[in-house]
Amino acid sequence: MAFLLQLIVFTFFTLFLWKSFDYPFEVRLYPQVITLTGLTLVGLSLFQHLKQGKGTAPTEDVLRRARFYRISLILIAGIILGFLIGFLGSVLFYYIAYAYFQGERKKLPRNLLIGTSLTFFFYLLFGYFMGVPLFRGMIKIF
Amino acid sequence: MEVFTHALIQALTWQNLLALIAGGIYGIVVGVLPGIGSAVGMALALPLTLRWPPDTALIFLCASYKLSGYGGSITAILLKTPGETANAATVLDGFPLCEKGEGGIALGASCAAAVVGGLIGTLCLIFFSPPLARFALRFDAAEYCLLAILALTIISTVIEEAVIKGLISAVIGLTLATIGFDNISGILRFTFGIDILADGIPIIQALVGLFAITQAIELAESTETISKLGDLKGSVWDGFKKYFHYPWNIIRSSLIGLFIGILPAVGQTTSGFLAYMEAVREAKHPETFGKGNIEGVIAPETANNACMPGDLVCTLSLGVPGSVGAAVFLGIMIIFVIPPGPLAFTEKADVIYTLFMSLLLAHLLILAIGLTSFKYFALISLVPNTIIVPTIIGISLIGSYAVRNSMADVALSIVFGFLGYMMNKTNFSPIPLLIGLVLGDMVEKNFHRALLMSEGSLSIFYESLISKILIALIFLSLFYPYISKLWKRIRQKRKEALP
Amino acid sequence: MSFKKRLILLFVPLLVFPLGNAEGKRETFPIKPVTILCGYSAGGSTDIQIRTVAPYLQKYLGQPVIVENLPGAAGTLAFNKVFSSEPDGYLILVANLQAMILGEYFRETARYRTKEMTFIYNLVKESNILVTHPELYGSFREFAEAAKIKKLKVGVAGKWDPTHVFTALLEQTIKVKFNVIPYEGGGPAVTSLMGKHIDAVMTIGSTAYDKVRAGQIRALLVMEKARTAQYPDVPVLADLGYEAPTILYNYGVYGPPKIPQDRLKILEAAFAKAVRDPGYIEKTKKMNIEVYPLSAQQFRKIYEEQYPITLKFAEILKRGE
Repeated sequence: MAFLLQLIVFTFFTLFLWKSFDYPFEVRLYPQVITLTGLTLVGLSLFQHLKQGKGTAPTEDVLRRARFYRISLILIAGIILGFLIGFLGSVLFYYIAYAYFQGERKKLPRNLLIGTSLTFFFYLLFGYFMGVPLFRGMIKIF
Repeated sequence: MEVFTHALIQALTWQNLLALIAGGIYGIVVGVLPGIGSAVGMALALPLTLRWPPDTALIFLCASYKLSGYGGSITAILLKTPGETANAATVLDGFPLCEKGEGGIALGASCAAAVVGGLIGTLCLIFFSPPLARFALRFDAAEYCLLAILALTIISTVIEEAVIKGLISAVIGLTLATIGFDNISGILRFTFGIDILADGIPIIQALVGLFAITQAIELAESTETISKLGDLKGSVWDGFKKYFHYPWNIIRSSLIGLFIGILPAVGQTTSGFLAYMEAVREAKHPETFGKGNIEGVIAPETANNACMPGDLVCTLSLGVPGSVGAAVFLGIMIIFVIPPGPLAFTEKADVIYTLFMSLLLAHLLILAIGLTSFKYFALISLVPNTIIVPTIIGISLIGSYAVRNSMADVALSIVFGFLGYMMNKTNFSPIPLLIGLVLGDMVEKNFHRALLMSEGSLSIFYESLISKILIALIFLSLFYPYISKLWKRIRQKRKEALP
Repeated sequence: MSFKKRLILLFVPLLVFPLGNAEGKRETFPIKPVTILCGYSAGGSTDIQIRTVAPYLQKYLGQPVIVENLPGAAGTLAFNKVFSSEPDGYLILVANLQAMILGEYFRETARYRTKEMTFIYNLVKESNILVTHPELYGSFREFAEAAKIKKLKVGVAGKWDPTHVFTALLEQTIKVKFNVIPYEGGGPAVTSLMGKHIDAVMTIGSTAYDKVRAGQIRALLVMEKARTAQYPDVPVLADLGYEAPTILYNYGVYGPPKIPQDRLKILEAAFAKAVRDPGYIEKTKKMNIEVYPLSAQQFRKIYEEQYPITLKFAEILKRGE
């Protein structure tokens, strides 16, 4: 995981450095200085990493992994839903999805009730009292 | 003296008291909600206050501003979700304390910090504004650039085993900060065609992502509650008393907060982290930080609460806002036809002094609220994750959304959430990244502006006395870990050499 | 009441709210709140102008008026947004005309066309003013002499901002070259000036007003043809024997292209009444803002006049780089 992240960071810096050449000198001076510094640091860090050798990888808790994938899926699905049916819809979805997948089945109706009423509460608080315009989504339900 | 007594009487009229309490409660609510910061809160409440007399309106808004910082510390401690960017540092030790069941103690200390730090800051505001403001004016482009770099190096290099990782994190933040319009030339950079990025990566969204969403993901991985019923030990009052066991921390953090506060353009986020990192540095057992050391709550909260009145120093005596919140405040003053600057003290002295008195009273309010209601807040940590996690997500995303009414910002927060998760799992601290993002703009634009002013000569970076001091401090903080290790080894050798 | 009944009761309000928002082709406009978008942060000069008039507008419009801030790219994000939004009269923009013209000309992300926007009403007129630190220069003449000897540092509110243009205008009028330093607005520039880090700042009348009154900064020159009421003691270009075309500097309200005529008339009328409201007039007098009401037609006429002039200077600015 650490190695992967450092690779991503390395790519990130390289990408910015490469793009910076599109801009005139004054504009790219600062980004180039910092991306080069960044690359140097990543290099040093990778070097350190290799020197320490491959330490024992922590035992993968399979259950944890599964829960992680589930929450990621929920988050991403929620966002897409948010774009479609509006913000409140996505909030409601999160409560439902979370209650269904992560919570205890016995407590499902209770959790759903709390979730829905909390969503309603949010609507009141933000939409009504505070006048924050909540995103309505492309299919305007709410 | 007469001015003060008169102002005090004014501050105690029932309208003003009501405004104080209402503003305070509103502020706490705003503070608790992540993403909706003190500035937005004030802007939202402004239309309501326009019909009130100026002192009442200002009291309400000022109370809201002051207490939102305090409200933010509540969620920071209980939910690992900073209510304001300023409270991000409080999360580091506040939440672990909560995990250990000592949430009440953390809240108590935070309350004490708000009162003490705030009082120190407010008293300086009332009595020392002019000389403080004059000092702040000596800082310009070159000094700000160096100061930002200094803050970054301090924050990145505290964790001795991971200095390089900390610096990388900071540089990532700095790089992300270059996205958007280049301040000096106006050219759009690194947006890769995505329009919403034209203004760069917004701080609040990144903060929400890196702290709130990351936390939600991590909590989702385990299905327990944050702390267990039997483990709740220590009351708010205990925490409050404990605060006073650390006078050096208090003094040091207040000074840091005040210093950062009076400088326009540097804000509470930086002061919180700086104070925290300094507390780590000075501690006898730095390894206990991050695991629930009460000093890790005392430092940032004291600093931030001293910082906020510091913000007002420049706003009131120079008419220059010291932060985004202060800018809103300034606009409000103008609407109420109170000329910011020294004229306010002559033409509208009664309003200003009434405000000062109210600000002092606000601390009593904090004391009252803090000591009475927070045991109930601590119970939040017992709510099952099934409810907490979506709530954290929901509140955070509303916060992300509310800033610019943009769903894209919400998506961005989630991206940062995953990034934060990966970083936490691989020993990269996301804090330097956040601060890099916050300060990146400051570093670059001041760097460019300084060069413009000197027409290309680098000498501007070491001309003034302040610049020289800052450079020295940067080197000190970069090499401090190595120097201190060397020093320890030398002492060790000397001890061994003795018979 | 049974559990189920309680549950249903909980959901009923949720259903009612969306119904309440139905936009039918009903009575007169406006039937719901009107939003005015401001392209700069709260507390800035544009923001203050609109927030001062908003309560009075609300009175005459009969619906709440919400001022929303969408800062970014020196106003461009807000300009773009309003330009491409529904011309139903519920979302309008407050902005400085010259800033819009210049933004369109210089910025690649500008997708709006100032020409096509609906001009609703003009609110106020401001002037640009050159200020310095009291300990640096006693008068404009002193300043001009110093400028001939060395390159003075003059702060402006932003790159390609109208203040930048006015500075270029000044450069050509007195035939000197400044070291122009862009800031993120008038505020930071004046702060730098107060610390004596730069020599002068070109800023807006209202922004400088209180500080000049307090003696923190000194007004050197007002970039107008004749003396202004705001700064009666400060010389203008004509006083010093300089001939220079004036660019107007006004803040007005705009809407997306092609707002229906009837709605435009209603908005225009409401603004006209608002700026003549005694409460508003009293406030502007105290803040020393010069109200400059222009009907939609007059406003557009001013735009036509100002457009070529503004562009001429924009071009000079561009060539000088």
